[in-house]
Amino acid sequence: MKLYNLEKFRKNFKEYTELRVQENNSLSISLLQGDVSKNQKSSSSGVSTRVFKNGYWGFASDPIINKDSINKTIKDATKNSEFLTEKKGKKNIILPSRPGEIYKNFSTDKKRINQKQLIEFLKEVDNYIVKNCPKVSSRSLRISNLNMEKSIITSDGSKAYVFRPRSLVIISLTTEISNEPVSLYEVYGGFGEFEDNFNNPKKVFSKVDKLYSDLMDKAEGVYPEAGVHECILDADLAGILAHEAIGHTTEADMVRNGSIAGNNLNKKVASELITLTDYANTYNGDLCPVPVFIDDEGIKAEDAVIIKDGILKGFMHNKESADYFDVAPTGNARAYQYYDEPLIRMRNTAINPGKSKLEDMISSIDDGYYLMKPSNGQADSTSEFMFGIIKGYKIKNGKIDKAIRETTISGIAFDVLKSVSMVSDDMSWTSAGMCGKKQIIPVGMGGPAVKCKINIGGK
Amino acid sequence: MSKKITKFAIDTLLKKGADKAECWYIVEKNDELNIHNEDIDLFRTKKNIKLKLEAIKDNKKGEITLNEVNKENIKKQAKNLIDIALSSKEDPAHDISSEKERKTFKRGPESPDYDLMFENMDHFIKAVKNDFPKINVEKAIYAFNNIEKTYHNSNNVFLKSNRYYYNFTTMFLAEDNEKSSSFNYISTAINDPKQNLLNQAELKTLLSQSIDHLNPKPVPEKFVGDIIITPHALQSLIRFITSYLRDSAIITKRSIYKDKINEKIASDKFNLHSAPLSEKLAYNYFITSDGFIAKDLQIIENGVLKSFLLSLYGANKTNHKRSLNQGGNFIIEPGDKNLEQIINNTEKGIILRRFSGGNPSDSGDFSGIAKNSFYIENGEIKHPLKETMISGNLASMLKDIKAISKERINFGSSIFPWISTSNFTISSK
Repeated sequence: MKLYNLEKFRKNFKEYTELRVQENNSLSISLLQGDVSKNQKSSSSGVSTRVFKNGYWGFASDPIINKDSINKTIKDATKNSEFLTEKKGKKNIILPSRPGEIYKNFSTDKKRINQKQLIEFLKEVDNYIVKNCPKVSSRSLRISNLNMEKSIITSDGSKAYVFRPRSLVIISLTTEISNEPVSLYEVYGGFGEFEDNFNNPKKVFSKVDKLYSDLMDKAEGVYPEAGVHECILDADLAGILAHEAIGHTTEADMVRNGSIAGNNLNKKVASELITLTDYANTYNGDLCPVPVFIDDEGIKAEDAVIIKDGILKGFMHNKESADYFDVAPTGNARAYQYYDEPLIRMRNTAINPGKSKLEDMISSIDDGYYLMKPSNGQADSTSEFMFGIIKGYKIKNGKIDKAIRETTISGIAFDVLKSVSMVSDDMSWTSAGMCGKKQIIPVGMGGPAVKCKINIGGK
Repeated sequence: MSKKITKFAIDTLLKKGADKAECWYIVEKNDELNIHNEDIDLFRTKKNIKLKLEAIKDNKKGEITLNEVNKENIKKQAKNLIDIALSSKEDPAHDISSEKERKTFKRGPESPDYDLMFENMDHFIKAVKNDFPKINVEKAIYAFNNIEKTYHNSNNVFLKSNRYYYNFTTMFLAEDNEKSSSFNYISTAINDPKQNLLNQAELKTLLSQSIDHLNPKPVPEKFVGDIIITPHALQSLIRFITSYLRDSAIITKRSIYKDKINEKIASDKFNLHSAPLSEKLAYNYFITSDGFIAKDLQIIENGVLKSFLLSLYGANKTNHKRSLNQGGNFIIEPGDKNLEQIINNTEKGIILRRFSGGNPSDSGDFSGIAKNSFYIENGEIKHPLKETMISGNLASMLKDIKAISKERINFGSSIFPWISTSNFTISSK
């Protein structure tokens, strides 16, 4: 795609209007048992317009990007909002505004790698696995890249261009013990193009060694004992807890619809060791995995502080929810495809680091678990959550003991956060997953390790 | 129009050097009314075009999907695609459809009735406010979908389908003072827009149960007992089970059913069909993703596994038969007990309304939270559940089936009964 000059269409805006031209490019290559089972590229581009008239939204989109189609989406979106006004009458809502202008291109400066070289990259890693991981019975490797490129103008004066890439390598290994398969996978990479994240397959070899070693531990692992235990949730789990279990309940549309967070504003919802923020673009001077400078409603994005020192302080907003709650918008409105309307979405949701050392946290537990990698997670309006756990260890007498097999943890997030007694002084981010809420979208999650009490499913 | 595009694409791919070529041209249009904050506040029109090109050269395959569909871009992408294919590893299992029939299919009402859609949504939200005042409708989407798919390949296979259908999705929870229930939802495909949305997929019962869930309680103790899986919960569990029958699980031999064709894997009460041609379903498909005319298929017959769900590639790779379809549109045959009888016969267990859990392990073990579920003791529903986990094994779950209900729910894309099974570990915090 190219940077579109949308300014000339501004004169056609009669109501509050957002105009967006977008292209998503994705690439997916899979090696299954050494065979290329998937080798594909995909491109999806188009234009969309959203109009807010008399309190109702109209939205229209078209895959063709030219003067006529752009004008037609403006006309159709207006017509759609008028359809609702005719049926329902007028509502008097004035959307808040914090316009900005931004140009952010995060594409690589490095020499481009073509699809053949990407396959060679995976094959080299695959060959390494075959040679060095003798007990692996099945293996799959995947490259998954997604570049999202948007040009946006809004009738209240915003103008933005952003090219935001993500590149991932996913490796899954399986071994068999007593004829039963045991698997483990890991996702590497995140924000940035492949050339920036993976310049040499040999750099992945040490990660394969670690994954294989963890798989061998897991194969000899035990099922955890069901019940409530003292646990350490490593960074990835703290991140998914922040995102799934707290984050979703504090999206302002969910709050407005009755999520449990709505009744707890300015109340203590967590240990005073917990501060939780949805970062817009930067943490501690570094770019977050999904940096958002202007959202898809043209709002200059700001950090949304959700919990500060254990007290619930605020929610994530788009323009409409900010008007409803009479607060400033945070810049959380994002859309996945050109034909999607912006929704309130998290950006980079993280628990802030504390002061404890991980080794001290482990040695403080007599009988518990160190839970390290989630598979998936789901949460509820009540903040009740469930995460699959694919990697973890038992802790016995302050020391790491046997690995554990797959299990599930669950609880009420606000209760779990109240039980937090230690937070590690380090921090790591991931951007491996897609968050689902009508549309999917890449999100960033981060955190330190936290010590808490949690319910484990066991077997 | 679509035939001109697909023919040009196939001819171009062959000219650029493909040994075999196939393409999908998909034009999607949907119009949807959205409820947020208990008001119909968004009317959205979506248009999308996809041209998916696949080429095989020297037994190497590549794939490109684009939506800027014009001759110049097709020529450019066809050249790229040959390079992509050549970069792949040689695999003789790659092939394209040899379907003999050239056929077009059409089903459903061809154009939307916006006024009727609005009236139906308006009635829905007013009725919920009136009859279920403690319910918050978090969102509801009523959409009309118009999907045209054209498949064409270099074996001169040409298939086209036009599918028109409505679908309705709503997500809701109950709220009372400082209490909130879990959310619940339905999603259902509909042919007739006149249908009352509240009558879809037992929605009224679910709304009422959400209000019950404002006051949930844990199970009294950890126990091994029965679960009655509702049709809603079966939607995710059947997806888990059938994932063991698909290409990836069979090719990698990770499936628990890899060598179980014609063997008993479930109770003899259990009959599972994949029926994309069923007239009972509002949403279906006529063409498989590997370019064949879909046929109805019985996957499990009286508990015996009769078919995997293998594509042409999966079949070539494993020396099994290609399946008659690609799965989906699942229908489970009804049983011989009323739901009430099944509940009455349950000594200790739960009704599982929604399963929130991780994907099962390769061995079929799975665990997760029983959402919107109820505790049963001595044949009676006792109370709604909170923070209750279940764990079991998918393979055992099918073998341990005790009863299947006569009643079923038609979700428009699948039809499921209630199924009672045993040996689940059930515990609350």
